[in-house]
Amino acid sequence: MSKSIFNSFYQYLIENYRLPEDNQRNDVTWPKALLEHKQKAFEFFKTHGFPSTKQEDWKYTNLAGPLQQVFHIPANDTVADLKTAIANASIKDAHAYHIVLLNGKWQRELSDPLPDGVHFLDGKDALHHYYAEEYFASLADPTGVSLVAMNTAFIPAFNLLHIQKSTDRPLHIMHFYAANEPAFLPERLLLVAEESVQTQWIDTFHQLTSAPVFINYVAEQFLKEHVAMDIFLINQLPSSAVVFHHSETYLHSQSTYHHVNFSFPGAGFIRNNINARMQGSSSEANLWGLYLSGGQQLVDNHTIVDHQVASCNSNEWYKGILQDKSTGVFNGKIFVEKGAQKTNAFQKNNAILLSREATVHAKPQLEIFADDVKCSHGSTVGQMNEDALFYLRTRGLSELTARQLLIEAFAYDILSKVQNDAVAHHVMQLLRQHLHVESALPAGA
Amino acid sequence: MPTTDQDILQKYSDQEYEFGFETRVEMEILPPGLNEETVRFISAKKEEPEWLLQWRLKGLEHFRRLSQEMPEWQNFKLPHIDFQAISYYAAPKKRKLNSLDEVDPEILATFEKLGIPLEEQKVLAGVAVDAVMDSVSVKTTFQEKLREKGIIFCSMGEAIKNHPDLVKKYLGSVVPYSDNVFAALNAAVFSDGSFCYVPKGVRCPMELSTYFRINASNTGQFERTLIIAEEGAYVSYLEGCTAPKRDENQLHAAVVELIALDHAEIKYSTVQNWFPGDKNGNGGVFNFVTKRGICKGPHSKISWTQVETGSAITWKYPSVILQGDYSVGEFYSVAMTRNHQIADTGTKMIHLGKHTRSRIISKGISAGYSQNSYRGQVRVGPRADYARNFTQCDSLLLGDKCGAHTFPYIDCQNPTAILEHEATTSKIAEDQIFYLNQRGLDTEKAVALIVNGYAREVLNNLPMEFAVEAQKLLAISLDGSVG
Repeated sequence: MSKSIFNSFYQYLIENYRLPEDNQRNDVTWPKALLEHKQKAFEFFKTHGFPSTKQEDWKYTNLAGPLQQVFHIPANDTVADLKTAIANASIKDAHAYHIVLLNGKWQRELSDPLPDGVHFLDGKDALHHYYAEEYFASLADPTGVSLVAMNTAFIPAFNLLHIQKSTDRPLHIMHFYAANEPAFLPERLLLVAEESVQTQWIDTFHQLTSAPVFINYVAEQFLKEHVAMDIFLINQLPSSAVVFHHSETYLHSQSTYHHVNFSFPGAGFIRNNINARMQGSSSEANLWGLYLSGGQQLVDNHTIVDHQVASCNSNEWYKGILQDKSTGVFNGKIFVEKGAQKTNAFQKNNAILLSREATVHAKPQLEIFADDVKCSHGSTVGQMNEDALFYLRTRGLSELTARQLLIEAFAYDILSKVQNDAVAHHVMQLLRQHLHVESALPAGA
Repeated sequence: MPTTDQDILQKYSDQEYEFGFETRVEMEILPPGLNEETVRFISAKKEEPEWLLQWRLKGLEHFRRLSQEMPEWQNFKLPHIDFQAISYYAAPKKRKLNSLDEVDPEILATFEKLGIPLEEQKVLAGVAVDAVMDSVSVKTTFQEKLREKGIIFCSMGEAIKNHPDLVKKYLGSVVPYSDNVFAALNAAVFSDGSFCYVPKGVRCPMELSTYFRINASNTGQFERTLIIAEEGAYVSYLEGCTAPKRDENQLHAAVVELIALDHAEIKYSTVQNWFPGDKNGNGGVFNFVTKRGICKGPHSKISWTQVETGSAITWKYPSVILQGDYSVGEFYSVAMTRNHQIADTGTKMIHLGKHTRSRIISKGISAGYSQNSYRGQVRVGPRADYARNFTQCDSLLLGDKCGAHTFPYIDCQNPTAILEHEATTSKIAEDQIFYLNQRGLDTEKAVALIVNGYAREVLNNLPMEFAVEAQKLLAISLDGSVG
């Protein structure tokens, strides 16, 4: 019984692997130190293949189906009409600085000029940046996730976001993907936020074509002392997309990390690994998430909050609304390592099932090796409160409106964590657009 | 009198196992090793029918397959177990006794040391004791009284001889021999155990109990317990364990199967205090038990209560399959670990029927270098409309070198289900101790009081006779003196 999948896609990848120096497509040279990471990652992926459901972290998330077909490494850049796409993707009244990416490549001429102290680097600028050698593959790769190794091995280049000064308006990174045939699209980001920087950052994901794509996105993020970083992740990919999203964040002392993760019906398969590791005391990590699922979608959120040092706080709250035949998976790990005294770590997870065919798997998990701590988790699975529904009906609301209202209230707990009205409004619109309460009405209602 | 937390922790962390002594009784022992011959020998020795032998052989077959790849998902490193180094049959030579006088005085003395003299219990508590000492049932009391009611309570061996139809019908129906590697091993080599059958509409008039002891060197214990409650029946079963001190590890792979039919109720309580190894983590019992009950009929109920203080490694998940509509499953657990003990325990509640309810209360206490994990699963099948679950698992940490972990799995396939899970981890708050100090209690007593209060929800669910013993065990673990 193998614990890994070695399918034809795997075979294809192994056979077509080229180090960047032999790759005609790449106009950039990789520094030797980074190439070693790539080589190592490839070996790791070669040995471990794709994870199967025999592995605890993939127990309910079966990659065998989504990766049945071979996603090709694109031979050349796809041309797409980005102007309209940008207009559609931009968030009204957010006044954000747009950073536009197509298949992981920075589209400089379509992006906004960035404010003073914010540097977005790609190609050789990123590869030869002093932070690249110091940090690249130092965070995500040690986690031993074979899909991260796959990313490291196959990315042609990566982007580096270096923030030296606080921004007056949020950054909005638009990740566009386009392919004319089934394509494997790895993308990588390295983020370094320097001391005392405060910034908000919107991360949205879109696909412009209808061919199946496998998106493998890995971000490594360093928050130095006193940084306050808000990230709003909005996944709007369509059903043709298979998504693996891994973000690994290190927090130095007194930094605050605020991550809000939204996903909507669309991408057939979503696996998010959202990890925050507190390396400096008095830091704080808050992970919030809301997913509305539909169709045959599988939405899997795995999070790790790792308290490595004393006196840190963490809060986590993930909520799910499941429609149709969708499946929701939540796994929240809290580690409190030896010596991480005075830790406060809280976690909550709620799910509402709106359909008989929906399934939810939740596994909130605490692993605690220090005694002077306050840790708790709570998890519920249920449906709408009949009393609340009845109350609303007595106030004259139709069954439909009442249910809609209750679901919006359920979602509000997470929406209220978005400290940006324009973004919160935008997400609410998306929620309304994708929510179909009618089908969840009981027969005869 | 120690006054600081540190002193107290030190004191009881260092405390050695109190019930470590060995009874010298003549034993008939099979040489170590496991193969088809071993299984045939055990089966022949016990004069078993052919179907059972075949069943055992199938168990062996599955054991061979499953032991190729030992489980890795648990939250500890499974020590290597040399299954060929274990002797699979040990029985005290003297058998068939008519009165207590004929029981080996040494065995009686052993029980006395444990504070459970048979005669006294017989008179005082009205408890029927099926005393199991290394595999073969030595003495069963109160059988006649039970027989009047039509209740069958005997050793598994006798049940196989006298009630083969019942055994054949239910044996392995809840825990099949293919379930897991240790259940397969048990199926192949199970030596004896208890059998209980409560007929329709009968309420068992007394608490049934069995005391398990592991005795001879190098013999794993492979008990098999089967309890069947017919329509409308009620039975409360107690299981208590202590084991003598020994340096090498011992494997205990028992299987317990409970079957509750319509409107029946089974209450199963365990107090486990096997040898946990010395303070450096040497020796100790491996307690790898498969316990599972099925609520077959509507409105049936199965309740597990356990107090786990012993064993080097405790690894078990007493579970309930809620098949009948309106059936109820309960799990109450206190697991206390200290020194280098490991506990990975919890439950599974499998909701299949409509309106099924389950309740899980788990309290972990870890001290010293121990690791204490709760692992539980609540599963709601697509047809289990209006299923309801409430889970609470709390962990108390005493000392900064131990660990407390929670791994709850919540799997729901039905939109009408309501599932709740909550867990907390903390240490005893200093203000609580301070408050008790200023009310005149020293710190040691204060800690004991708080721990007792913490575990009370579970202890309250034990039958009277057991609650006392359980409290005693916790007290021994805590204050370092005989309670």
